[in-house]
Amino acid sequence: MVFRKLLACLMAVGALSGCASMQSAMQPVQPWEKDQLAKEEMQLVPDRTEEFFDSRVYFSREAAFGGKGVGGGGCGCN
Amino acid sequence: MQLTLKKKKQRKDEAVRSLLSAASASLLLAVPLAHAEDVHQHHAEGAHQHHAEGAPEQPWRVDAGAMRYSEKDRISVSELNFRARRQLSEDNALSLRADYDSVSGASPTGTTKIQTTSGASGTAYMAHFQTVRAAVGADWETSLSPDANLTLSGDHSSSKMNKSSGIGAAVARDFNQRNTTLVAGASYSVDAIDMEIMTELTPSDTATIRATSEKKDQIDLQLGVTQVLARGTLLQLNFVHSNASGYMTNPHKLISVVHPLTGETLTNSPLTEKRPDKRDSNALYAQVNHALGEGVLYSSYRYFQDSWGIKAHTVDFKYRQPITEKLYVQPHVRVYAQGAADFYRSMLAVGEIPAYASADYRLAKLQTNSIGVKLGYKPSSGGELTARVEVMRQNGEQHPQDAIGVQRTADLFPELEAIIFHIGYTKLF
Repeated sequence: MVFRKLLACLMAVGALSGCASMQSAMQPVQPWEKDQLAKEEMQLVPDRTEEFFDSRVYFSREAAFGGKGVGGGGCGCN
Repeated sequence: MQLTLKKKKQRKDEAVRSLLSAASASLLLAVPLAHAEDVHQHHAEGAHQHHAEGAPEQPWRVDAGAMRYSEKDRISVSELNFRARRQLSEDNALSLRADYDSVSGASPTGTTKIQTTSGASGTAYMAHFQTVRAAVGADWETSLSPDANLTLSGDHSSSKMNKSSGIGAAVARDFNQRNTTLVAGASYSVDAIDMEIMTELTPSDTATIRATSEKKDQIDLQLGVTQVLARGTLLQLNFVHSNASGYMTNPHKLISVVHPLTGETLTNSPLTEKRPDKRDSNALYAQVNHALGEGVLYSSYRYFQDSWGIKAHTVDFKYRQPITEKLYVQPHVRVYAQGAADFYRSMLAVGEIPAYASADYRLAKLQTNSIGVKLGYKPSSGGELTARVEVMRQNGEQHPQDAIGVQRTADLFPELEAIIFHIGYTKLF
């Protein structure tokens, strides 16, 4: 029990220090530094057709769905 | 000269206005059905691409694709997808999409492979079917302020027996020098099925027609954040809650009824299945895009859980590496694992009538492994051509614990293997 509490404390401290160090390391990226992020391949969905076909295939073959956004439901298809 | 230009601009503005009002009217009149990711996807464009590309010079973006999905000994799907996005003004963009698919082949009915009923071949383990489906959709993106975008969407799809319509809205707001974007979205969809619906959990030979149509409503709510972590690193976190109510039983699926000790199929008439009419689900999704030299690594993870008792994990990696200035290669690996729904049963013993039961293998414990590669080519004339091949394998419990007697000797989850070919073309102009 004591070990569990100790472990939980350690994890909390670790997480907090991790956040703090990340925060200090994370200077906001300036607009003139966004050359890379502006590229097509850095978009969240760089290839819409690929994304669409994948979601169609896996939606009809697996029980889990969604997560990337809202909309949809389905076609009730096989 | 200036006057002519002004007149032209006025005419253009009027055209844009009428186009916009037509678009919004059609959206409000519930044009069309939607595909899950679209609302969010277009936000992504709004938040990043929009500013990156600047609209005026190339107001059009067209994406077209064709896919062929073939399962070994089971179904095949051919699908065409087309979408066009037009930047109408600095603050408005309209997207239209259309999708057509044709499915044919054999699909498992849910019954067991071993059928010992004398004098009959039993109820088919596989059933052949064929269907086509068409879908259209539209999005309207507009700026609410210099830092906020609204996307409204509408979609509709139709096949012989199924119709689906949906509307959605999402607001995205940038903070922190556009390094942080918050997204909130909601959508509503209605699925209708028109066919003879038989009484549930009833022997298929004595089942009677209970209804000739049924429907399902679904509400999705989304909260998301996109954070620029570093010059070449982007993080997206998303939470989506879905609430579905209505008819979610699969009217084509059956469950074998076997002797409680020997496992023999005593009757030639398996039961129709029944699923709960409520389903709440939650999906937590995280994605990181990380630039590695000239390449980009895309990593994502999704945790899914629902009120049917299903828990699922999905991990996906893609790595895009340029080979020359015009050519790139992108390997892909995806692993998916799900637990079974509470009411999943590979078979039922005689006399057993649970509240809900389904033998649909997609509700069983299963794992999907996919591996693929995509080639992208950017010709000097502009645009981008892509070609992709992917192999998908699905495995589950071949000998589940609830198998009875002789059924234990059968492979109750034959491996499913599918090959996916996909070509795509994108052009800005």
